[in-house]
Amino acid sequence: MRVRAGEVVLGLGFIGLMITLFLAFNWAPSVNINAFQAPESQRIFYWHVPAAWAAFIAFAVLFVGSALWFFKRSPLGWKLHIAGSEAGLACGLMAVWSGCVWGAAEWGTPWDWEDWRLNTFGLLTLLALFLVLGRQSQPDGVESRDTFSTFGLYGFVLVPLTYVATRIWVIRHPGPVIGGDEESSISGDMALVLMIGAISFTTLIVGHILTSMEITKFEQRLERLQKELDGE
Amino acid sequence: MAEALLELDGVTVRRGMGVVLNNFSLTVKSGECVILYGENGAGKSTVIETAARLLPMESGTVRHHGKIVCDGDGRRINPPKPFGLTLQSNCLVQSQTIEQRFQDVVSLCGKSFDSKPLLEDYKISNRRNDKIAHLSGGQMRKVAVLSGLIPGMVSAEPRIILLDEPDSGLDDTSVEMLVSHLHMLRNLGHAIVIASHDKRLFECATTMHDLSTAQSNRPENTDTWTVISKDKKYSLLNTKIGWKLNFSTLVSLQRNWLAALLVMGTLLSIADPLTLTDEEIILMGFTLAPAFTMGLIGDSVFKILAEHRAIDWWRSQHNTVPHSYAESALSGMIITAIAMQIFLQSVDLRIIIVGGLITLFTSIAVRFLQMSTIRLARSNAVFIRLLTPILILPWGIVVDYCAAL
Amino acid sequence: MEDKTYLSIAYLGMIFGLAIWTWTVVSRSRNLEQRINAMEQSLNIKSVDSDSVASVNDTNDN
Repeated sequence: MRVRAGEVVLGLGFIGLMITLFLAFNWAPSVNINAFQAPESQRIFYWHVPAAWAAFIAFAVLFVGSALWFFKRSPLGWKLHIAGSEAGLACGLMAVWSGCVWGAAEWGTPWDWEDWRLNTFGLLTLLALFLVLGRQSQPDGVESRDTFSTFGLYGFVLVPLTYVATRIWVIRHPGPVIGGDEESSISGDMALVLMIGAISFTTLIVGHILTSMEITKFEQRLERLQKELDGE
Repeated sequence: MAEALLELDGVTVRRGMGVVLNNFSLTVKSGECVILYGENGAGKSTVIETAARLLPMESGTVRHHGKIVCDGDGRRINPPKPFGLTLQSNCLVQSQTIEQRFQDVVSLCGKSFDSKPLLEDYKISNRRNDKIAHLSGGQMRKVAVLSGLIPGMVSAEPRIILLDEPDSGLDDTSVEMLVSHLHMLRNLGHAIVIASHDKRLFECATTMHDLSTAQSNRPENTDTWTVISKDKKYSLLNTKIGWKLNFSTLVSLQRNWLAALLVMGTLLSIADPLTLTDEEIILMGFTLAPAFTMGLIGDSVFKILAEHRAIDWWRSQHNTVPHSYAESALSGMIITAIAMQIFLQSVDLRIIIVGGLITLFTSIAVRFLQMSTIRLARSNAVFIRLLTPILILPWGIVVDYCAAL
Repeated sequence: MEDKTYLSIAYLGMIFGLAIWTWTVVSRSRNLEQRINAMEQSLNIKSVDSDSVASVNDTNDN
């Protein structure tokens, strides 16, 4: 069986993630134990933040794909929509899961229903879940593609809202690490591990998007072959 | 020259995996009856549903009485005059009686009439006050077909009548009656479009159209329909029809109220309000939770209309379909008053109004989400409620605000 | 629970999720490719990539 580009990129992403994990546990400095309720759990953020970052990239791909399908009826757009929603769901769930565990350790509660940033990010993940499950529940056709791409377009409004929310409505959740102000900056070694994590997650998600697009291509080819077999 | 009542101009429509209508045009004038025939899948139903504003178009325009009602840019404007519509599916609310159904149709036309003679013609007058769910398949079809004919029967002015396979499931006597009525309505000046394979209906046609070529025909029947109605003014029709549907089916009681009462009971089972007197936010949350639950269950009238494509019939007639907004707000206020008495042992009118507004806005949001997926082939299976947790955030903010009052 | 337990739960959950997701995607891709190859061989045709929903328009136009 031939090796595909998507799978190679996926493998590279995996290696990067393992390196990040090794560095996070063995090399990155510990945080000030007086500043946190659960200082050890803080190491969750070496995957949590890159997962959230990768989720935003996936949501951006989802938006571009939705727009391309909705306005241009582009088959590439539909492939991007599918790949973006699946990757957004996976990375979103990882960020939400790790965030909830950290919240339980640090705050004593896994979720804060009054934090805009958590809620808008949670909604984006739910939107991705809706798109993935919803698509599986419907026959493929222009009606379902139009409806789901409309939701993809609406959902992207939440991305800038989430980013703004990190700056304006910080209640419990820490401020932004990427693109934040001086107060939110972290030490050099920590930033380096985080950056390796972000690059690894980005590589992984690119691999997933490529593989997912290939799957969509295969599914469409299979559909055509089935029709040919049916004699249509 | 006769007025063009229905115009489809350069219409392209995609459905499922392909393009069903490609740059299709059709003009139907007053006093004309166009019969669309052709193989299954040729696009006959698509023409009817596009003319009824139910399908989005890739390009082209649809005009009723010379005014654009929908186009390829996504505009969807209320039709200038009511029109008759019978789709392949009966689009009937099963828990309504025949009489209630006909009165709703007539009220949309701004008229009132006695349905008895018409029901006698079709031999269902004895079932006039029976629920539609209790009728046989053929009887239901008669009600659906008559719902499509009534806008023409109650109006002396020309109207559009769209019928998709009206003959399916009807007995021979009823088809004969239908043919006779179609002749009379056409001779009165209405514009009729019928999708059908039934050759018995072909004699009504002034034009036979196989979706690529049109052939003229000259019907011999010259009988004219005598209008059977009186003018009547109606206001807040969608609200009133929503109320009637709600009260005749008690659907809001079995869905929204039951869920709200269950939530209230569950909260009572886990905490004694008297031991929580210092926990103002928790008590306020308990007080406003039933109203929020009521809203999350969704608009009860939407649930009724979603059965058997009834909502499509209503959507074709008006952009706003019957709703239970007023009932939601009232129910929210009542349940909040009860919850206040239980959890706070007091009554504050401001909190009661907030409870009503929570139910109203939540059910509007849920209804909006449901309406967004109405076009899907399996809209009930689409997991749209996954998006409703976002409503918890504004609810939490309102609870905080009310606790501080 | 101890601080490190939370840390372990978080990472184990993420690793497990990531592994399942990647395995599903890769195996689905390989499975589809095998089915397509088998069908193409039985039909004796060359593979053509096109979207049946987006391309019907072109087919009808021709």
